[in-house]
Amino acid sequence: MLILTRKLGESLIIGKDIRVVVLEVRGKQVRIGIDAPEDVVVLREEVHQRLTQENLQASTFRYSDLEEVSKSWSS
Amino acid sequence: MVAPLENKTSRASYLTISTRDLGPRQVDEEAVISFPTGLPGFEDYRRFVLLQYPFPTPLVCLQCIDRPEVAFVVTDPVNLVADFKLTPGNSDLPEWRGEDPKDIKVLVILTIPPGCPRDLTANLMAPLVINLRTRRGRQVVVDKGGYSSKHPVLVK
Repeated sequence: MLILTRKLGESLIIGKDIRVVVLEVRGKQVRIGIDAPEDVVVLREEVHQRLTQENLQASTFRYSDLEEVSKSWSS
Repeated sequence: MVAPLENKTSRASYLTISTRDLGPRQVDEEAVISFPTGLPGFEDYRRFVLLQYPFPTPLVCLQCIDRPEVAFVVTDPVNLVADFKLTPGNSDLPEWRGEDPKDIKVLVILTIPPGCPRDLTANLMAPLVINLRTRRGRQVVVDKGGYSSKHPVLVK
């Protein structure tokens, strides 16, 4: 892993169009600002993991269960 | 209910696609929805289409065109939470910005555990935002509102 030290207000450039700036340091928390193109997905790592897991699980449904779901839903 | 998105315009240019559960289908090219960044876990699959199931249901099929085995069951979140709201930050998305709200469709993905369909949950934390005019979509994260990625759908 590349490790760099930055001061408050200083930035990093990733590639040609992603900018990461340190906005605030407060105890153990760091606020980070990110400028990235619209086609770049920026998510907290744990959120990304949860979404990935949830989407993978969601894709394993059985078609044969759907009618039961539909009936239970309306009742 | 989600209105069918097929046959949106009169331009007759059809694609024949294979689907996970609904056999081969013909869909209007204009009905294709692209997710330029894919969905987390499925980043390589960009083109989807919404299909109706052949029985009465609030469920809609989000079928991947690039890979027939990939499909999701989705529904309009108002079927689950009457006042479902995205966060203001979400309306700043490229899919959303400057658009007439009626051109924006919000859907949520359902997780239906195989064999235990009554335990289904809805991912309210990460809805799909689809721009019906540009036919582009994105899975967004709703930061506020305390929405769960495993919202139980059926009350036991």
